[in-house]
Amino acid sequence: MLQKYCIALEDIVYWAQLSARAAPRRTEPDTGQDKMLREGKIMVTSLYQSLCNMETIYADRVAIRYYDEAKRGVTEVYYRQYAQDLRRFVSFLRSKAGDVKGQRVAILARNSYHYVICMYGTVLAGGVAVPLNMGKNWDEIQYELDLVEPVCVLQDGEYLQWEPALADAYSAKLEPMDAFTAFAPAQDVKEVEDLAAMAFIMFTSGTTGRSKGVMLSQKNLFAAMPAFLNPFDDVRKATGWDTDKFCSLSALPMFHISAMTSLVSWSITGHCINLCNDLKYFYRDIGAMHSEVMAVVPVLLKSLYKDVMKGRRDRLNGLCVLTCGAAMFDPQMLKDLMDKGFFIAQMYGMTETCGDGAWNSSQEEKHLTSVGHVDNSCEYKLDDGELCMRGTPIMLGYYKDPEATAEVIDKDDWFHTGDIARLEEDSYMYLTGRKKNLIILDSGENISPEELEGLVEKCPAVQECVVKEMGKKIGAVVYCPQDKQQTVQEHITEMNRTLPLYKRIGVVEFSETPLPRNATGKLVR
Amino acid sequence: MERAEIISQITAILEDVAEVSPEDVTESSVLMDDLDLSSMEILTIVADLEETFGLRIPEKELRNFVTMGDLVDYLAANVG
Repeated sequence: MLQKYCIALEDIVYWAQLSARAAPRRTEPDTGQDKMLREGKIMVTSLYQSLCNMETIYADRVAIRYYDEAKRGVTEVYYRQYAQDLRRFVSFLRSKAGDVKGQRVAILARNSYHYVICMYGTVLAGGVAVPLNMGKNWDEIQYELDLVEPVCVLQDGEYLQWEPALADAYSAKLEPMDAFTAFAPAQDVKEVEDLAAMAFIMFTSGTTGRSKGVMLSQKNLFAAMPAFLNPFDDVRKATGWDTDKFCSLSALPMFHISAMTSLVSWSITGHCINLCNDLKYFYRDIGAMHSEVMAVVPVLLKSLYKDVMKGRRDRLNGLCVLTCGAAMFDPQMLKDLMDKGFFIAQMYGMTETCGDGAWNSSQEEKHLTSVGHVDNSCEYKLDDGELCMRGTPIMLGYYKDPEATAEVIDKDDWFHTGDIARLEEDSYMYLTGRKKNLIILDSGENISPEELEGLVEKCPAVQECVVKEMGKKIGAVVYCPQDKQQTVQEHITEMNRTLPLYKRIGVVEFSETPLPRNATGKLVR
Repeated sequence: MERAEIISQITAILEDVAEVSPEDVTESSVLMDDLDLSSMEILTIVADLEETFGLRIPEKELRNFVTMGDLVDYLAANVG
């Protein structure tokens, strides 16, 4: 995982003007903690320590804002209340499952404040939080639930609406997300016995077959934190902006490593996170909650880019720092946004490395396509061109899958990322390809082509099929009789109705001859 | 509401959100293919449709919106 930062230097005056406009909105007391934390005088290495800070030094600051549908307005939660709700959740979980040490607690819900409480409350109680992707169909979710054998499944009713089979299979374990609110805060929450023990399972797309559960500990998580905190020094130095007062809009799904880690990093520094709980209402939410920073994937960046270029920047309500991650970005788009006064931080990461890696603080256009410099949290090397990482942030392994773990973590503990990289003399790193057969979309989602090929091939007219990335979309090349092309097209249109938006095949091309194969008989992708 | 009026409202939103020219839109247009819409654009369009037509479109319906006709059908059936 690498990160990269790019800053437009050529218009210093504009930066200064923008800096004045991006004046802090936060009204909470400045206790000087930001500076101390930045200077390494406050060390936080666990969620419990973070909880203690929430109740003391950050108690009177706003922790989380979100748009409340019921009251049609913004709700603010202070750190004091946030901590109390985490303690309530611990009481709730104990009442349901007793000693939850090492027990899995699945979360299947849309983003919400309650989601945050359920995820981190589970870990504070000693359990293992398993946030699941709501976009997956029941077959996939059932596989993941059966694999982790949760003591309870926290859900908000949304998923049940279109997959009632969830209730049939797990009725005894379903619990509402807000159940904790009826409980008193647990006063005896303490540090978990082993910070190196599994605390999260986050599912990631496999290159073949089923998804894999990435096991992460609190030790992994907090070892990765400098990678998320240090970059703000670069922003501060380059722009003069008072980043201590920044708020972050969190719009990515909480089952994604980027959202999971940023919720922790912003809370250990006592900052405020504005939750956008449904991307559908992104513009409503950003309009209602002033935010300077936002983590984006290419598809989101493209929307912001259009707004800026069409003179609608006021819709973005103060947004000035974009942390770009999960996939490759269009460098021209980044350059244009920098020219318009945005600070662009490109993040490259993996669930398996807990989001840790490196970043690029370059302010030069020539480095726009680089993933930048590695950071100090891990060791790095190129093994036959493949980027490998070793260090505390690296996952414990794939859940119940030692074979898959051994495929990516070698005997010397090097994690093989699957990304082919090139290191230039000026130590800037560039990704040049992937060893793994995986499509990484503009939405940041990783897609296994084989999985979609299997669905296309369910149409009897399909003789051969290859699914690959075609011009930023998922494309299928199909070999079938010419008179069956319409049938295949209709099959794919119907198939798309069963898939979440991000997984749909957007381009279909037909071949009247068999698809090319390599020397070993495998289809050429 | 007349079907033609619904189509006119949708095409106006399509033009505003994604710069899709109204003459390029037919009921059989596939949203992510023919109209080249991103998933984010589809979500923004759905939010704008909710505001325009004064209704709430449940998450589960999103899966059914593959073509322009799917959007029109849904709105025709649910808008008073």
